[in-house]
Amino acid sequence: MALELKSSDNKIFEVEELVAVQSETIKSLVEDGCADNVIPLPNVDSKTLELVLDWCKNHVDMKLDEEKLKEYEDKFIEVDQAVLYDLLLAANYLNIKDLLNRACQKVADMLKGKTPEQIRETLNIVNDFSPEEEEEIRKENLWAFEE
Amino acid sequence: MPNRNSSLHSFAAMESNSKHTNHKTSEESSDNIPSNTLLPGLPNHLAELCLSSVHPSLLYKVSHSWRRLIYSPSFPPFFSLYALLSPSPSHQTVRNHMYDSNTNSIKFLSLDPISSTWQPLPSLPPDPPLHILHRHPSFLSRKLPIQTVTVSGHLVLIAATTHQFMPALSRPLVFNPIHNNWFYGPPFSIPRRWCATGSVAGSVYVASGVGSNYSGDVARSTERWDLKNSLDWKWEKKAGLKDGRFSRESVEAVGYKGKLCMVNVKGNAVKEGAIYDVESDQWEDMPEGMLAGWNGPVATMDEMVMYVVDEAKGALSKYDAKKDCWEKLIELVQLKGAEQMDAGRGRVCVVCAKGERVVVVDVVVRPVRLWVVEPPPDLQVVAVHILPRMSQTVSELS
Repeated sequence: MALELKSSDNKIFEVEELVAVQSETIKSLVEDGCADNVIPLPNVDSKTLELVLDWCKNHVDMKLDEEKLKEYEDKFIEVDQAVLYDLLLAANYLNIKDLLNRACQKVADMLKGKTPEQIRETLNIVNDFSPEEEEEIRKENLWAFEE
Repeated sequence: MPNRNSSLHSFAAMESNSKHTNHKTSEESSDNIPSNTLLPGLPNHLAELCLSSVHPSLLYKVSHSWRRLIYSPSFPPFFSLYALLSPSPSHQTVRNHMYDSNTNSIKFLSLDPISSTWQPLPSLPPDPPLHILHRHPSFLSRKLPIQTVTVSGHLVLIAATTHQFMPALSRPLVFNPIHNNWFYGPPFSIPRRWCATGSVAGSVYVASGVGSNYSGDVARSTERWDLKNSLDWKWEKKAGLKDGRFSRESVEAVGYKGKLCMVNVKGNAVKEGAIYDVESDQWEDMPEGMLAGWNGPVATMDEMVMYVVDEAKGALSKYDAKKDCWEKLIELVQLKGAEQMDAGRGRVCVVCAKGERVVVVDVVVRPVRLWVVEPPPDLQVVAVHILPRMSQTVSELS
């Protein structure tokens, strides 16, 4: 059983139902009987949708092979920040939990081991601290409890 | 205790078009980004998901909005050191006010290790008024016990003495850091000036001790308050002790692998131990090795690992249950005179030198690392507890 999905830039994707219902959003539409016609996805462009569907297809194909799946996921998420954000937003909109988790984790991983200044540069964040506050921050980091 | 993973399930909202168009960051100047945006290009609820697994001490240093995030009630809380403090006896005004039963010189403060600041807890409920005597002006060297316990992320004040030498609390007084509020627990069947108290498996226990007067019944009694039973909070009678040998002093009991462990005399003196088994509702003897090394304050990490600081030697040791002996981790002159301690989140915090300092030991790394924390000026630490940090609203942050 195939479904038709339309991206924001009007490209049609034909997808097996089993693959498409990895998205809880699409799954609800199917269960409510609203998936007979083309399903419009105005919040996802074709470039991102193609990636997302590749994720979904591989999660169906490799369901039983944990090691292979992890290898695929690690490689899949090695994208630049713009694409990563697109994937995150699409995973949220389409409600694909494992993709959302993996993308969030990747954003967090990008921050680890970086200085605050490097983080601001990478993520385009304004430094709104006063010089006095900056001085406080530069001081040796005291103890904290484990997370 | 808040669980990071549970926050992920609540974010299934559909994206609105306006949030999606924010994403083209290369075309936007930073002037267009509102100041509370955490990650330019993502709506805040998704940014929070990403940031929740980054250590708060790093988030603290990036920007004001990231700093506000780590204190917000919805964000998984980092841990802080909570302290019960009293004025240093050398402080002049203490002598003047000590006998004034209207003032409470006891203070509750929390040390936020991320910002390195001491913050007061909200004021205690005014009704009923709480009057606690810590030192009597005629006997300055003797401190009257004030007993606190932590259970399920809450701080509980269990027993203290009033200026008239009566029990100060007829109900336990509880602080919840996430909601930033104080509330009272169920009334004690017998309020006590001091007792044996501790928590294990989400329940608080009160045993033995002394009420307004000594009573054999009270000295042998045991009661439990199970906080998990939130619809019906009450003190239930449990198996009593065989005699009153635990009633002489205040006793800090520790929860360890489903049992409550305690000794009846502090420090290096000859003492007796007792263990209460929650599941069987029975008291049993303490293993010899555990008792032999219990020469100072004891605390457990997650009720699974037990630590002691030998007050005479300043030795921090970990209990080996299989061998029934203590394995020394470090011996330090700074740990001598250890009076009270708590353990949690990879750190052991010890009150030493008559409350003039707290030694924080990182027991995760080898060799262990330590830091010394001093209380605010003119205050001495009575007890410390490790709990989630207090939530703060935007207006409270400077």
